[in-house]
Amino acid sequence: MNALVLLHQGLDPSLALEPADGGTARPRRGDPLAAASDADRSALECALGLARQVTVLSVGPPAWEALLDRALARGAHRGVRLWDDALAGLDAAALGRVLALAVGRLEPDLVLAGERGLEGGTGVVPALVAARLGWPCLDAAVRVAFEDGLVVVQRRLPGGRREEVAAEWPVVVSVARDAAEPRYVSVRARRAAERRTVECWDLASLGLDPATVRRWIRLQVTALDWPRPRPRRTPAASRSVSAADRLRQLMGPGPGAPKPGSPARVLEGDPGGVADRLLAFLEARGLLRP
Amino acid sequence: MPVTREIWWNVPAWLAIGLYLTSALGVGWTAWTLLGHARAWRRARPVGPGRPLALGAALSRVAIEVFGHVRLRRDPAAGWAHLCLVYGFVGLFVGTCLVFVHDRVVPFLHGRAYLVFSFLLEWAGLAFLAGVGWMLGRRVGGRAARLERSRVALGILLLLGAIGISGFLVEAARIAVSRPGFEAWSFVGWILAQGLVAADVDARALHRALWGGHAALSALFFGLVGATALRHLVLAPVQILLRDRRAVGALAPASDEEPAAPLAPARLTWAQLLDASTCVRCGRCTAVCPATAAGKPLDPRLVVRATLRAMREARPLDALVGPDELWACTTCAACVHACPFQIEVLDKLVDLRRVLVERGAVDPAAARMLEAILDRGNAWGGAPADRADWAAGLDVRVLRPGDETDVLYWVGCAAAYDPAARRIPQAVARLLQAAGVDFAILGAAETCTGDPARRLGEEGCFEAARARVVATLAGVRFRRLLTHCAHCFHVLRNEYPARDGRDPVVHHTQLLAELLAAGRLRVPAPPPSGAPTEAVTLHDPCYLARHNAETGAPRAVLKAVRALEAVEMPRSRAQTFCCGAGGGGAWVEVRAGRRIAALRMEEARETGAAVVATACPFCAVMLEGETAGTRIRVRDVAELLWEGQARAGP
Repeated sequence: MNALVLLHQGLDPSLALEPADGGTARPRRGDPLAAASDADRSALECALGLARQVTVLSVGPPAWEALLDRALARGAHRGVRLWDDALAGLDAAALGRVLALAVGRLEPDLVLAGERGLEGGTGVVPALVAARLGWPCLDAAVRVAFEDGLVVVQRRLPGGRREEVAAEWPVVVSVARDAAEPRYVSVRARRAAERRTVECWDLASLGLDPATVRRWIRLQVTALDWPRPRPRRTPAASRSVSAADRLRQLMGPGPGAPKPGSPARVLEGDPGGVADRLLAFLEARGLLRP
Repeated sequence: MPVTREIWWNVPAWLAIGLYLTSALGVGWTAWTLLGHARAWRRARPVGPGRPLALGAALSRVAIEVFGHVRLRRDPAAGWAHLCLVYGFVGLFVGTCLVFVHDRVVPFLHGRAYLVFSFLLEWAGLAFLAGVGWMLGRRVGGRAARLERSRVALGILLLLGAIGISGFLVEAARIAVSRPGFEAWSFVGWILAQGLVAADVDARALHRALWGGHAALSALFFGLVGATALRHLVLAPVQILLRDRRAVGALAPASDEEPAAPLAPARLTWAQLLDASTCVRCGRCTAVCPATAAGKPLDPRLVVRATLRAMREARPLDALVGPDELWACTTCAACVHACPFQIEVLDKLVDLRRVLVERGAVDPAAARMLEAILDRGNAWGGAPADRADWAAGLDVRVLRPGDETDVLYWVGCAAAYDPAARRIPQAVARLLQAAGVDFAILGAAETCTGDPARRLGEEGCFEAARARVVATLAGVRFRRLLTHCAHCFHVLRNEYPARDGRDPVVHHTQLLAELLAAGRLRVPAPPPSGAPTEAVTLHDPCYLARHNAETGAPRAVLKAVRALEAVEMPRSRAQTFCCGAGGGGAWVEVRAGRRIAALRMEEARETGAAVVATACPFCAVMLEGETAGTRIRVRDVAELLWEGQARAGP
């Protein structure tokens, strides 16, 4: 079983921007220029857990090599970067076509991509790739598994409902950011991965020429607007939570961490005591009859 | 009758030969076992570059510990008991050697010399027995909770007691046979001899039997030195002399070879193995460990013991110490400080963490923190551009590359990104402005020093962070590097490449104390008599008080705040108790047991203080998190000084 993971990077949505020339925005001084998406990392983690052979593919300039290096350090076996100047500013449909061709050449059994990766935030690229290939597309996956020769995916539906779908491979899966917590890769392992080379493909290797690709682009960005800097909600120095919980709030949502400003809290103590407090809480809200 | 004694009196040749044979056997067995340890040390890694061995200072350190028992007497009862035992033992051992000299080399134990010799040896024997008895009492009476219930330890004490008592009885039996008057100088033997005479026993036969028993027990003792914790007789001076010469709690670089491989004993340094060989399991480390006190699954003594086991059984250390034990350590170094031999526990735990990190087995919260250090240059994941937000409206100069300043203020991530700690740099900046100090900050160019990464075992991340900081610092000129963070202070001072003393690192309490002493900062007027003063207690940050031995400066600053009256907590200065934040503890919380910070705040509350003063943003944040439902305030000493100045008016 071979898996292909599509990786993308872009501006970090959690950082504020400042105005730049030509009505565009850029990261502020000192801030990182680009970041991988959490959903992409989650997709890679799913692939590593499932497949024997994992390839990562990016359509991006040489600066993106670090993204693929990191994926190799995480455990991917092969890295491919596809680039030509003609590929700058692709819209979702054109990117989908290019990716479909690359997938056709790599012949994976399973294609994974982060849900709403950073390619313009459309979230349709995996579906477009699947449509081009004629493969099923399983989106919003929070769990991906193989069962009885089928790819089984748990999908997140509106309202917190879940749906389990199964399909014969090959399939395209778009993975939610919380499907898997990416494992940490030490800096030493990253350095070792840097010594491995990422394959560079050009358009010719897909049998394309720049003019063709430019013709596929049907969409152009006509204006860019960004929110004025908004005050961020940071948890105040509260006396009511322990330092560790507050730090978790400061560092942003993680598995099981209360969201900033939410009334959620972690009960601590001996199991009996915690159970009593839970019961009291539920009874006080009428959710449980005493 | 001449005033001396016949050395081999009443000892047949076979018994004398037996004594030499069994003693040689015992000594040989011990030498053999110690050689086994030495072989394991030789297979281990070399210690990385430390401070050069200053032989004179090292030898005097050995002499102070061996003869003064300074660290041992921090627990007075145990220390004095051990001191009695050691002085008695050394006296008896030297006495026995002198007898040998008298017998085989130069006979000199005649007349007055013999009497003085006998008299002194009586006292040595008494001191020895007193020490043994005291220790037995502590073990049997359960007075020392930190001691293990060890049959071996009990057996050794009983053996020592038996050797001492049989020694006195041999002497008594010898005296009882001929009863020379001058032997009254051997007063213990003399008194016992009177008892033997009164009991009308066959003193000659008794003497021979006791002599044989005494010799056999002594030989057994020699043999046990190598095989039991008695090893410390030989190894403790070696350990104190040669111990890894890094600053307390300063970590050595990780080995580059197969970082994710199991931590076999050969992958530890010889100093770490020497530590393990020397340990006597006295439990002083466990008694002061904050993680143990909070009921977390860490017992530093067991970590050292596991290291010894790994060494003996040639098993990897990570098979013997579990992950929860590793992550519970706050690297506060209380264990190192409490250990009579300064055995390092935390460097073993950090080496184990390094293996887990290389395997990717880290807590998700720790992983996010490490990624944040790598991607954004701070452990909070804040935007680098937001780093100097705390200084808004304070008119603090931001250095650009190539600029120069007298004092470069290293603010640290905690104060930059944690709103609760933001007050600290604000107070420091206002005080420096009031004192007319030429200072500046690096603004968005400042990045994490890598301390939390290194303590969590992510050496590569630390190295990357350090390289970034070193490059930034090389781009600006300054005379002194100021920081209010005890962790930044420690790591910049002890774990960064030395900058030839050109720009010493100072902690803000040191600079503030200096400014107060020089009169550049005004000491506010005392409150009018009768005006209420508030009690304040100082929580010494581990990384300041223990790792860097600075306990005077924060107190000097507090003293300048006249409206406050200082009270000390039971565990203060170098004996301070951790807040729980160190070693990545602020991010990775082992949930078992209680929170360490809660224990510390209980201790602070018991002093009756209204204010808890700290000198580290991590301590401030950790302790403040435990103030729910109380009126107690947690403040940095700089904040208190600024409040004092502001209250006193212009």
